[in-house]
Amino acid sequence: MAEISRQEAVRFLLGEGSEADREALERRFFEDEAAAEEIEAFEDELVDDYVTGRLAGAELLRFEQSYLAKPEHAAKVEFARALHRRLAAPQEGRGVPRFRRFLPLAAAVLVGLAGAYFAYRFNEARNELSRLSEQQASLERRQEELSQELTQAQSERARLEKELELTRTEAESYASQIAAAQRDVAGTIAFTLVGGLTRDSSASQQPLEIPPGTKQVKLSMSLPAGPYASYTAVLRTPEGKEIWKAAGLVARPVGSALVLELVLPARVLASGDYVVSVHGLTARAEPESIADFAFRAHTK
Amino acid sequence: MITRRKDWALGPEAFEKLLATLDADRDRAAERYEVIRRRLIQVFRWRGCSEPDTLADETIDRVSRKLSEGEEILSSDPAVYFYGVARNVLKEFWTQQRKEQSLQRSAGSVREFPGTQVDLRDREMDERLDCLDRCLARLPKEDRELIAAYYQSERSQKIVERAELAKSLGLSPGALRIRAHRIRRLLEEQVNEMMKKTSNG
Repeated sequence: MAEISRQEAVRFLLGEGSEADREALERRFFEDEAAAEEIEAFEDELVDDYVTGRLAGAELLRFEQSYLAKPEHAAKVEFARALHRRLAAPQEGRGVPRFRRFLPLAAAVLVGLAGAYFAYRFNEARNELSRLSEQQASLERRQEELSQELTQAQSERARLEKELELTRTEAESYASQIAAAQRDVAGTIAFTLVGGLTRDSSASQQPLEIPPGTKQVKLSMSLPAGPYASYTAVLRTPEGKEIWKAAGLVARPVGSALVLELVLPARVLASGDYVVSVHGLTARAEPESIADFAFRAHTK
Repeated sequence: MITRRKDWALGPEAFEKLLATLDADRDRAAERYEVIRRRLIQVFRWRGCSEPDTLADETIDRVSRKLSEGEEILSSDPAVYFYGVARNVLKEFWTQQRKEQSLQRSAGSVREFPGTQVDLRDREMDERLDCLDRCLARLPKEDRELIAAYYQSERSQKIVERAELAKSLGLSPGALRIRAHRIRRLLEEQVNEMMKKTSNG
């Protein structure tokens, strides 16, 4: 069934419309539960509108002439008045004696004045509270900033200490390297020999200048074959006289080459021609000749 | 004014028969009876009848009498049958009322409306508020809170506040409106009943 509109319900409640319309709506009131409650709810609202002063104009006039004129509706209106007086904010003025109409006004003025005073005091207190809150917030912000600055300073200090430690380590390393270099300069001289040369070829090479005070001569030789488990290097004169021998040497890779270093006491070398014969030892400890390196030494 | 007929009274047997017509289950039939009686009172009140309760009871008496005499209710809804009988009672009321008004005019009497004296009205209002307080206190807590919240909405905010209230209760605004109406109707019935008892002594 179609819903009942407010307009339709109000027309019915105010006794308007044709008798056929009224009868049709009354019939629905009996046979349709939802429609019945709708009409009753519209009546509640219509009476509420009247007692709260929301009814105006032609509708108010019709209500007063029709609905209110029926004494049977008095209880309904009075109940609505009581309900609103008890549950809602006071909004009605109808039916109240003239002098009593001013009581709410006077009370309202007093309440208003008291309210204004308390509002003023409340506002002051609220402003003070607001100011203190701002101060506290400002102090908290400053504390937070200082805390952040302290953290940053501590972090920076830690970083600087680390850098200082690193610098110290590097400095020590450099000092150590310098000292080693100085020691090398003072006691050891290094040369690189070219391998696979004939014994006569040493004459065409620049002689190895060995300055006075040299304690050791380091000879680096690039090996043409290998690797072997270990190497033996023998220093001889061109005549075949063995001057110095070192066994159990280990070659080290430099790029794609294998380099064998032989360190000799400088005192074994006099000015003259020499040959270094290098042998590699196989896994079965059998020596295999790898290369001879000829050089000319010149001692001062 | 129309009065209840003296030649026939609603006895226990006729009342049981009436209830049996309304519903096979006696409890449901009693509820249905109350609803029909309340609606009859409403219709007579809307029609401006004085003493709508008496007219409603007269209607029920007439239906019961018809049933006792063997008449059957052919309408699918017995309530509609009651309404049909109520229409006859109403017409009789109007006829009676016209006669009374004619007599009053000729006698020059003035009908006095109740509640025209301010003092009386104030006293009645105090009494009504007292009854209302007691009836509100008797309501289940949930209903009391709902009706209070429903009517506490400020005038300008009424629609918005009631929509929010409906949302908070998980109801549609329409369902909230009907629920508030049911609580209000119950309160109104209880207050009127209490007021009647008080005035009767």
